[in-house]
Formats: sequence, C-alpha cells, structure tokens
Amino acid sequence: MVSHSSKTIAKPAFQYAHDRINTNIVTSSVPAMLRYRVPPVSANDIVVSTGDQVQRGQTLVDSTANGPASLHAGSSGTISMRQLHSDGSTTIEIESDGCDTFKALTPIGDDFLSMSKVDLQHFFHDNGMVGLGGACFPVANKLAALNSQTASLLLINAVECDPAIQCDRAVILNEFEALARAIEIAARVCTAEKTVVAIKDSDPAVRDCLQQALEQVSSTDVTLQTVSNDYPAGFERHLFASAAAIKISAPHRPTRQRLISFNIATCIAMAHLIDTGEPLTSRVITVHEPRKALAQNVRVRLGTPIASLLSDSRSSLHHIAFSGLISERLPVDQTPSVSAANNCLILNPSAINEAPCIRCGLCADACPESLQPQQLWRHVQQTDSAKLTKHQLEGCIECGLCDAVCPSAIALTRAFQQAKQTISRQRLDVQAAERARSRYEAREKRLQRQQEENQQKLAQKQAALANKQASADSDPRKQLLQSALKRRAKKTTAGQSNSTK
Amino acid sequence: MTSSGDNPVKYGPTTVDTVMLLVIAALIPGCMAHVYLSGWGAIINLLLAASAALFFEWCVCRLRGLSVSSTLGDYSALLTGLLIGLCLPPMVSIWIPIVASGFAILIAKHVYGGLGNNVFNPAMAGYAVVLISYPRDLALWPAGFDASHLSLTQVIEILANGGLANYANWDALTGATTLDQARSAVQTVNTTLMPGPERWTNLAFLLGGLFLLQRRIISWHIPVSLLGTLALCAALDSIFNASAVSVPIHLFAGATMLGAFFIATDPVSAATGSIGRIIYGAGIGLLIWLIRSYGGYPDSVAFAVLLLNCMVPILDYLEPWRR
Repeated sequence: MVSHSSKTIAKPAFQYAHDRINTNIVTSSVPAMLRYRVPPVSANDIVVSTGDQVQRGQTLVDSTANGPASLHAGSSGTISMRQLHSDGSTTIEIESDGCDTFKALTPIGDDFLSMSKVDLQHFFHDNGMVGLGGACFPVANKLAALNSQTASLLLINAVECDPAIQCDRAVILNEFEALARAIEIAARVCTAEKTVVAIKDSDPAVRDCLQQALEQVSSTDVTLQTVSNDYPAGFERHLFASAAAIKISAPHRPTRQRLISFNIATCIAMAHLIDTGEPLTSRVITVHEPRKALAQNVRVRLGTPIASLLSDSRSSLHHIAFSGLISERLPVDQTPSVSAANNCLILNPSAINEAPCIRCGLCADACPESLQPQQLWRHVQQTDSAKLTKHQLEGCIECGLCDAVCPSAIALTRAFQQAKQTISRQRLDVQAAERARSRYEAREKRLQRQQEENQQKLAQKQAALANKQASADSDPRKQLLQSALKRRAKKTTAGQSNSTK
Repeated sequence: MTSSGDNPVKYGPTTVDTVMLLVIAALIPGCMAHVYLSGWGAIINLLLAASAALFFEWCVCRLRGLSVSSTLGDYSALLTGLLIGLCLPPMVSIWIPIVASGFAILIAKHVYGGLGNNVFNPAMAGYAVVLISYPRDLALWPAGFDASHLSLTQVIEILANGGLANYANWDALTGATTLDQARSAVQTVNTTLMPGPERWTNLAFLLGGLFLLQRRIISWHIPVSLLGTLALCAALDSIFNASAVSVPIHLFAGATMLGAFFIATDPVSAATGSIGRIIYGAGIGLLIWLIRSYGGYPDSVAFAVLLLNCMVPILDYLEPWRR
C-alpha cells in the first residue's frame, strides 16, 4: 500500500455497500497449470528440475534464512522449468495431474511452545509463511527483527481500508472458530506482552465476530480497537498511531521499538500451519469481475494463472488492478499468476475505453498531495520535463486516487511513474555528460599545463645551455683553446688551398 | 464461479459518457420550458441541430478512423447539438441549425483534435458563426406565446417558406425578448419588473444546474463567479444609471442561466484550477454585462464564453502547482 497522508475517498467515485459482497469463501478448482516466477536472488535455491513429480506442499524453492520465504507447490503435478528471463528470474511451471495430493504433513501443534525462537523462525521460513496483508513480508524475518526480545505490543490488523478488498472480512466471518486460536498463537509466537486487534468502526459484523473470539482468548492480554475507515487506515504505520497511539518515525520498522504487527489472515494461516503442518500454498482473494457484476472471495492456490480466474474462459483479460480500487491498473502480460501479495484482483476482461482528458479536475480534488494531475498529464503527453518538474511531479506519491476518480479512465499513475523514471534518467544522463565534460576539460587543462611546463622546462634548459655556452665563452682558458683551434683550422684550410694550387 | 447476486459494487468512477448523459438529463427541464414557450419550432430546432451534430460526428469519425461507437457513445456531440438547438430562435430557416452544428463539430471540435482538445466551446462557436452570418434570421424571436400557439402544420409551412425571416411584415416579430426590449430606447420597459416569459426557461436551467452541482458534475466556481459578477455589475450600473437594465432581468433573461451552468462549465474549454475557474467565470459575467449594455448584440453569452476560452491557457498557468 502506497500512501502517506490520510484521505477520505471522494464520494462520487465509489458507491459501495461493503456488507453486500458475498462473504462465503469459494474454493477455486485446480488449475491446469501453476506458474511461479522466482526472482534472480533465489534462482540458485530452486530444488526441483524439469520432469520432477511434485506433491502439493512440496518445496520448490528453499531459500536461505533471512531471504524470501521458501516456495511450495500449490498442487501435485509435473515440473517444467522455463529459461531465465531478461531480468534474471526463472519460471517454474507445474502441469497439474488433477489429483491435488498433499505431501506427508507433520503438524506440530502445541510443540511450538517449547521450540526455541530461532527454530520457530526456521519453521515459518521453511513453510513459506509470509504476511498476507499485501506486502508479502516473510514472517520469519519479522520475528527475527525482534532480536529474540519479547514484543511489547502485537497489533493484529483487520482493517481493510480499500472498499473493494473483502478477503480478510470473509476469512474472519467464515473461519471464526479459528480466530481465538489464531490470536493466541500469534501472541505466543512473538511473546507479546499485549495484543490489540484493530478493526474498522463501520463493520458491526466483524466487530461482533471478533468480540466473541476475544472472549475465548484466555492466555493473553488482548483488546479490540476500532479505527476510522479513512484510506489508508490499514497502512501499518498509520494503524499503530490510530489504534495504539504509538508514533513510528518514517524509515524505521515497528520491530525496532519492540512492536510487531500481523494481518489477521496471516495469524490464521500461522495457526493453520502449526495445527495441520500445511505450508502456505493458498490464500483468500477478493476477485471482482466488473463487467459481469461478480464479486466474491475465492481461496486460490498461489501460482494460479490469473486469467484462469475469469468466470468465462473465452473472454481474455486486459488489465488487472491488484490491491483494490485504489491501485495501479496493470496490463495482464506483466502479471501472470497469483502471489501471496494479492489480496484483491479486479479483472477487466476487455480494454477500458481510455477517453481523452476532459479536464474536469476531479483528479485535482482527489489528490492527497494537492497536485494538479490534469496539468501533469498534459505535460506528460508533451514530454515537457521542465514543466513536469515545475508542477512537482516528484511530489506524486503514486497512491492511485487520481486513476480511481478519472472519468476518462486514464492510467495517470502509471504515466507519472514512467515520466518520473524518464526524468531521473535524463538527469543522470545530464550528470554523466557533465562529469564526462569536466573530466575532458580537466584532461585538456592538464595536457596544456604539462605542455606549458615542458616548454618552460625546455626554455629553462635552453637558457641554461645558453648560459653555459656564454659562461664557456667567457672562460679565458677555453677562449685560448678555441682561438688556437681556429688558427689551426685556418692553417689547414690555407695549406689545403696551397696544395690544390 | 457463482454470482454474488445483485450487483453490490459500482465499479470505478463516473465515466465521460455518464457525465454527458447527466448534463443532458439536467437540460431536460429547460428544454421543456423552452418548448412550452416556443412551440413546435423549438422542437424542430432541437431535433435538427442534434441530429445534424450526430451526423457530422459520425462522418468525421469515419474520416479520422476513430471508433464510431465510442465517439458517438460519449454523447458529447448530442449535447453540443442540443445546446445549439436551445440557442436558436424557433422557426429559423432549417439550414441554420445544420450549419451551426456542422461548424461546431467539424471545425470547432475536430479540427482541433476532437473531444478534450477543442479550444473553443463547440456549441458557442457554431452559434456565433450563424449569429454573425445571418443576423436578421437570428434576431427574429416570435413574440410571447404567439409561437407556442402555432400548430405543427403551420410551423412546417413557415419553415417550408424559408423561415420567419420571409414573414418580415408579420406583426410583433421583433423585439420580443426582454433584452431586446430593454435595449430599444423607443420602447419603455419597466425595469423593476421581472423579465419576460423566458424567466421560466431560465429558472428551469437553474434547476438543472443545481442538479449538476449536487451530483458534483460541475464545480460551483464558474456559475457562482459568473452570476455574481453579472449581478454586481448590473447592480452598480442601476445605482448610477436610472435607465439601466435591472439585476433580475440580467440574471433571468436571455441565456444567462444556460450559459452559467451548461455552457461556461464545459470542462474542456474552461479553466481547470479553482482560481482559474473563478477568474474565468467572473470574466464571462463581466463581458456578458458589457456586451449587453454597450455591444451590438442583445445577448452576449456566446461571445463572452468564446472570448474567455481564449484566455484559458494563461488562466491555467495562474494555478499554483501545489495548493
């Protein structure tokens, strides 16, 4: 989630009844193919190779500690590896056998209480446990950042501030039996002195559900805290401020202050892992299909190609919004399959009609940084870097609110991102050119100086030589010698001329 | 996958076509009042201008290789045609609405690059062209309720004979609008009274404009500064000048309300920031008053809007980069 200042979503942009999306969780069928893109840093850690038969939950990528969490097969099938991409990443594909058989699972249950902190971190790391709130931060790394201290506060984040994201809500309402255990386990795992569960104040169903769950929690000091639903209320730093009145200064992570936060769905997934031994291979995602007026919560295997989530297999995807209404829309070729970071997918099967800008100014009203996106857009089209800088393009925090309100459906945020990159590239080019020029000038100067010095030296030497000669000329003995030599030369020439006569 | 039942979410923002449709919807009360006062002639003008605008838009889309469905589907051409139809006097020669729509769509809109790129308000550019080219035809507003009492066949007969301009010996042809009367020094108008019957049309446009404000389709800056400046100028004038036209006449006669809520607020050709919009509206208000009081035309909304359209680039420049 990218945004820094709190902003209520402009009213006309969305008419949204949050309690009317079906809260049942549909389980998606096994896709014919699962696809994982492994970033270059962990490409060496791939433990499978083409032709291998894997079972669900089997490790595909076993990365080193402190790296990204390991990756597990979402279903049983045959592995095929794809060549390295230009950015150095690899794609692992599993052709599903349709059986979806799990590997042998070993639940650890309450044994986790006796495990050392480091062992527990390894356990989460090896089972691919990552934060499901959207940032996909590995749980093990977060726990490791506590430096084996106890957490003074555990904040459980159940605030979904984007109106289209409903997956945590669905998990809370459907898996309410698991809530108490999940909160307890999360508190134990990070040895929290105090636990706060944050929910938004506009959702009584979730509040009731969590209140009941908290009554069953006996082992830890836990309270429920409601926060207002202004975007981006669920942003971690904002939530520590609004739910616990703790200010965390910008570049630091909460763990520095012995604070830790988990998304509610992450807590449930951790509890599920501990009680069943199942590694993280699926998550719940709110899937929207605007053209079909479909909105539902689906439990999807990680690695599922996003196109296979369309209800009509004949339609093709054009672009996707990844984390709700207020997020950047991406064309589908950049984003083939579901990752643990996706909490909401808005699938748009056909091209949105990007209409010309009619300069209505809604974007300027929505902009939390009080920029003038419609003017920026004009200058982006004119590729006028000077004007863009003047209009403070750098001030754009890429929150996506302008995209969300634009009646012409212009992908403003993406255009601004690209323009920023172009400008910084230009700036680097200019700097590089400047460096090259100054280097060249310095060299020229040096050469000139050397030449001058050489000339000076030469002149000095010549002068010295001349002096020497002059002084030689003035030496009486040498004068005598020279005059003698001259006389002799004269004689010889005279003798020679006589003999030739 | 199963459906979630009735559509729970209205996805994304209002689109350009919804904006245009809402503006057209907001025009309906004003159109009805106008038709009630002007009769069949008004309906024929609206139909002619709108269908000509759509036809020219279709032609130009074919020529430019644009998607006909998406370009006609944004309803902006329809809106332009309707606005032209509302400006023209009833029973004007039938080719005048067609020429006006043609100029609006072909020249004012598409020569500049189509929707979003036009410098001038297309409807006002089209109207201004016919107003300058055919001043006699455009000045002939039938008096009061006379026009509304004509039957469809009578109206068609008049149109078939080349419009009202060929009925110059007809009684009570000219000087029918309040602004015309107010201009004419011969006729004495009780300036303290409310304007003529077109006040109903103006009230209807005000109603539609308030609807647009409430739906946040337009912002308050332009209408408020326009009407405020116009009222202020008229009030100051009537303090110092006994024979000046009164404030209510300025506000509720002619095309004031149509101009303030539907024409000056066209986002494409208007200024975009809030400061720019206030100056833009105030400039139009001032020019409306100036041209009405000292200019050669009884009403002046079109010229005022077009003149301020010219100023928009510099008004946009006034806006601070970061508020």
